[in-house]
Amino acid sequence: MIRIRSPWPTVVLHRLGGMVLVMLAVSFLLYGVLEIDASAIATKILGQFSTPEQRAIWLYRNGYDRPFLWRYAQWLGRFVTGDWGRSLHDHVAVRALVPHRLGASLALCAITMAVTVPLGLGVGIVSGLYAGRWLDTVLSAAAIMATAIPDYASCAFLSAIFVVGLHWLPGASTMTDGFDPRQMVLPASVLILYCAGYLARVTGAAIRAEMGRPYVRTAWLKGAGRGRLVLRHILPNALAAPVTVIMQQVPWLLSGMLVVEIFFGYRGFGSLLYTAAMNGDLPVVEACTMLSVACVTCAQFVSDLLTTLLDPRARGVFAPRPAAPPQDAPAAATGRTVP
Amino acid sequence: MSTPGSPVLSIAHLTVTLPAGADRPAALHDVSLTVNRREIVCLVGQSGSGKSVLSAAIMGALPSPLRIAGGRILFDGRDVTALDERQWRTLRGAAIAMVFQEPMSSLNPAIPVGRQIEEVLILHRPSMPAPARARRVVDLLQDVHLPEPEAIGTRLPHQLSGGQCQRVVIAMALALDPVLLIADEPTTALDVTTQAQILSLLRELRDRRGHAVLLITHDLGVVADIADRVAIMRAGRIVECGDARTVLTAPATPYVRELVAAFPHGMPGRPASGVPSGGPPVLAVRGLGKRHGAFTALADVMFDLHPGEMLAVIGESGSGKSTLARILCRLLPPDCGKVVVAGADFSTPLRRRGRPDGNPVQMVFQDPAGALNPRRSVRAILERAARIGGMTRQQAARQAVSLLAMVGLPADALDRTPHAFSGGQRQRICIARALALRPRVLIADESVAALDPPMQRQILDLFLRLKAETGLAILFITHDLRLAAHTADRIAVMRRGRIVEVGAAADVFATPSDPYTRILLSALPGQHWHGLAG
Amino acid sequence: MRRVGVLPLRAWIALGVAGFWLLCAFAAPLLSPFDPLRSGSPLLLPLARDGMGMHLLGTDMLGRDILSRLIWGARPVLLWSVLATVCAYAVGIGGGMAAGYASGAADRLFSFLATVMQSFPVLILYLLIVMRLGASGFNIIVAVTFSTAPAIFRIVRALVAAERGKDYVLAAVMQGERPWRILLFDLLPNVAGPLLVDACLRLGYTAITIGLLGFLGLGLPPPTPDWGSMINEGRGMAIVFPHLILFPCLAISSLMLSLSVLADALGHRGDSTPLRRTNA
Repeated sequence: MIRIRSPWPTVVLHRLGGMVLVMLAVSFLLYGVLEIDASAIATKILGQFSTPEQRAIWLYRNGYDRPFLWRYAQWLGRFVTGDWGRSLHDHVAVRALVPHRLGASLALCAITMAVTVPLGLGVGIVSGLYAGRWLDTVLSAAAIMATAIPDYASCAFLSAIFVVGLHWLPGASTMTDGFDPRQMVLPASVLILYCAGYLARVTGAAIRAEMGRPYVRTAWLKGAGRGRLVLRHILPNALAAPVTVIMQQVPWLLSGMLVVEIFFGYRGFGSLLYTAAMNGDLPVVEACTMLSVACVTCAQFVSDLLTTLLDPRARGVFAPRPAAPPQDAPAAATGRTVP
Repeated sequence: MSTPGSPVLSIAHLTVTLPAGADRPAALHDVSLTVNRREIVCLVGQSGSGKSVLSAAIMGALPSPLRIAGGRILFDGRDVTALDERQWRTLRGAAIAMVFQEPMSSLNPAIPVGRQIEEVLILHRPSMPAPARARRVVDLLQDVHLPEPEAIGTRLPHQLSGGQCQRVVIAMALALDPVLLIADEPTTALDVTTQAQILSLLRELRDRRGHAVLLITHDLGVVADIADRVAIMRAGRIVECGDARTVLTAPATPYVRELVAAFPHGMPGRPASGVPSGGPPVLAVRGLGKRHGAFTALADVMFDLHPGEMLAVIGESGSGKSTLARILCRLLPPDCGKVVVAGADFSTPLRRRGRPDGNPVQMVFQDPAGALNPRRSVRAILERAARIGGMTRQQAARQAVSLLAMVGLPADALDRTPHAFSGGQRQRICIARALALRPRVLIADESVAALDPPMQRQILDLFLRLKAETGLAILFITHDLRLAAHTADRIAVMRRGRIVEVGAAADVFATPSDPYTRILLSALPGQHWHGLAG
Repeated sequence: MRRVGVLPLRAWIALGVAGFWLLCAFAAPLLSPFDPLRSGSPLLLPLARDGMGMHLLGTDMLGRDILSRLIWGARPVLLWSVLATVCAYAVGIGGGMAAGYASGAADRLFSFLATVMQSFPVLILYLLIVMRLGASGFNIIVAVTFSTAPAIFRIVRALVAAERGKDYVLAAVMQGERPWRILLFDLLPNVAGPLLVDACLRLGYTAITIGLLGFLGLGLPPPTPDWGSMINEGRGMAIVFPHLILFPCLAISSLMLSLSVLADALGHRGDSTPLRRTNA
């Protein structure tokens, strides 16, 4: 879709345009799925035993008698200008509800990423360094295990060990008496286990894939040792995949920590969305979904930019290319004749 | 020829074993070879003959299942077969250096080339101050005749051409004045003009600096031009070794005689009268043009091809010859111009067309392994092609048998899948498949480039036989001027999307009219072949 | 790594574990010691006895035998995950082959749709679909198809796009072969290898997803035993009676782990980029 040779502002604008298009399509799908059937919404709000007249009045008062596309346009207009409606369940403005929960989730997300990035990259690099030896085997097996165990199961396992067995940590993270760092340990550990395991596998695989390339053999035959090969030569070329993964994990964590939040009773963004979905609280669901999708799209954008910057071949998109295009001069031009 | 000095490398009775279960017990068997100072020794062999294993053994870089089972490798009088990895590291890059076949991919894409050269100095001369290192890098880049050495050192490999990359790799190899330079097919991936430059650079290294060079190649032309001595390998053994002139002009063993005979040396003997002058052309191309973005792939290409004629299209990489092939096969639509095959307009692309009434232009690709669906048997491949051409099942089955006989494959080949065959045999299957549609024109796009010389000769002879027996017109696309001149009736030389010269093969070879053709001819390796004899 | 026959040892062990659960699903009536719905004494610890006999893994809060429920629970997990994976693959392969081969406008449309579907975080997609359609086996298939088909689409599209420039496909095009025959007989067999590895993992991820939906209370309606719902029901008392959720967690983890190891062994010792877990 994107032409590499275009100047970089065009590339960035192209990408941004694509993002807006995706967001629009998402909002249309979302609104369509949730609100196309107006009478069902009225029944849900007013209860099963409301009369048809009551529902008709409710529909009229709330603008649901208008055509669907008009309603969508109105909703979109309000949403973009910051009017996200009122929660049907808690009867407060959605704008007031979200920031606190989002903040809580972002805090957990920050802790997770702060550990995941060094741990995952480190394990991946070490297993690449010792590819084929016992340390690599052990680390790879651990990483596969960490990624294969579902998060609800690791919640259970970690709780069983550290809460029930050893009594080291509290089993709930409700933070009812203010912020308690001890309550963050278990939820963060569950997330780190999966994220770091996955990052380590991707990093290790990227390093192993680079290892077979001819330039690595060149460097080896220059007399470079294994450490230098991996750190100086392979790593700069193998970073694209891990960077993409890291960028994907940030938006995933926002909604993906739902399971952890529910298990440990942590009041974050995911559990807000879950409760709203269970209660049929449409405005909250819509706002949370749009926020999540926006996060995914932005992260995708940033990760594209980063991988482009990391790829020496694509670097020309952002920096002016050297003037002369590569071209072998014919023998005569170099002043030496061929016998 | 320069006078050789003392021995740098002497290999004695080296045997490298393969793991149990391989097709033969040893990758190298009782190999003995000496390389002296101020000498270029060529190691020649077909793929699988063990020449790469030998170079890996000298560098202490044998892949894991291979093991040295006997013999010695003396480097500067010191046995290196017993060295451990740490000792090797001090030797590699410093005393023995290596140059590879794929210059572009053997450089790290993320590091400026100057820094990659500097790394050799950092690794082996840790005490050398940074400014001295930088000066040395510039000197090295200058030594390999790269223009603007300071500027080129800051570039990344993808910003350089293939030839420039190979010079960088050579500069890197020379950084510490190694006693021995091993070059593994250093010019195979390069165009013929670039190859000539790299070869003259190697010659200069020998003459001016006294390096010992072990050059691995499959091209006897390169040997004739550059080698002092030559060793010919086959199936893990050295079958003949000696003075280059002696081996090339008076080979002692039957295998080397066959090899030398397969190399098309000297002037092409084919008479130009082979061109059928009368009758309408089967393929007429007029004013063909194609652009890829800002790049002109083809411009105003015009030629005729008559039944029973072989026209060779010659050009270096990027000259547009492959684009031409694709347009003629209707895999790609031209921007402008006309292609007329047997009186019918063929300028539209083939895609979205249903069953054709026989596609009169068929192609034989460069890499026979990639051109055959690995999961289908030869019978399925041949019969399917015939069925598309409108034959009944019985006709297709009968034709498959006769086609195999025609391309010289045994009848029991029908029920095997492509991977059971050698490269040359696979190419025969590809030819049979193309013939199954009864084409009028066969396009051979570098069809013999991936094959070893004797096999090349056999496939080309097959083309010539088909042409003579069936009146098939053949468009032979190649980068190898000499091969073209010795096989084709006429030659068309392409450069930057244009045909700069067309003429009878012998005429173009003997008296080229275009300056570019003259450059191509002068760059051909193996011109000294006759000089050797004399 | 030790090899036994065509596969490394660990792959055989993994096959054994996966085969064990398959056996449980097929032979549940024969293998389970008790009726999974019959109530005895509630909340017995493992190895405890009551009037029904010994409960190897204890009983849940309604007194039902946990081992029996685990064995019966393998049925819906395997049934629905296989069905949903097959369904997602049918959609993904169809779209991916068409888009990868045709390129042009159809490719852009399909790719855009895939991008839109993929920008929904998967969990939210499940929530939305199940919230709109209700919880049932069929809706699980719908949810899994919507969430994983785009990823499969992308893999197939990339494989086909890489393969279609190869000479054997060009040779077929040049012969005048029909596009659907090229797709079916030339391309599909040659992209099947990587897809098999991918399918192995996706099967596991779908099983996790079904467990997850059960965990969120969106799974199959009770009292059908299924692993996710068992975890969901036992969650409240897990601090006191961890065995309520530990055993179903172990069951699903062992299934997923075996499929991961199998995929890893098939995919050339993990040299290929590992697949991202879709529910995660």
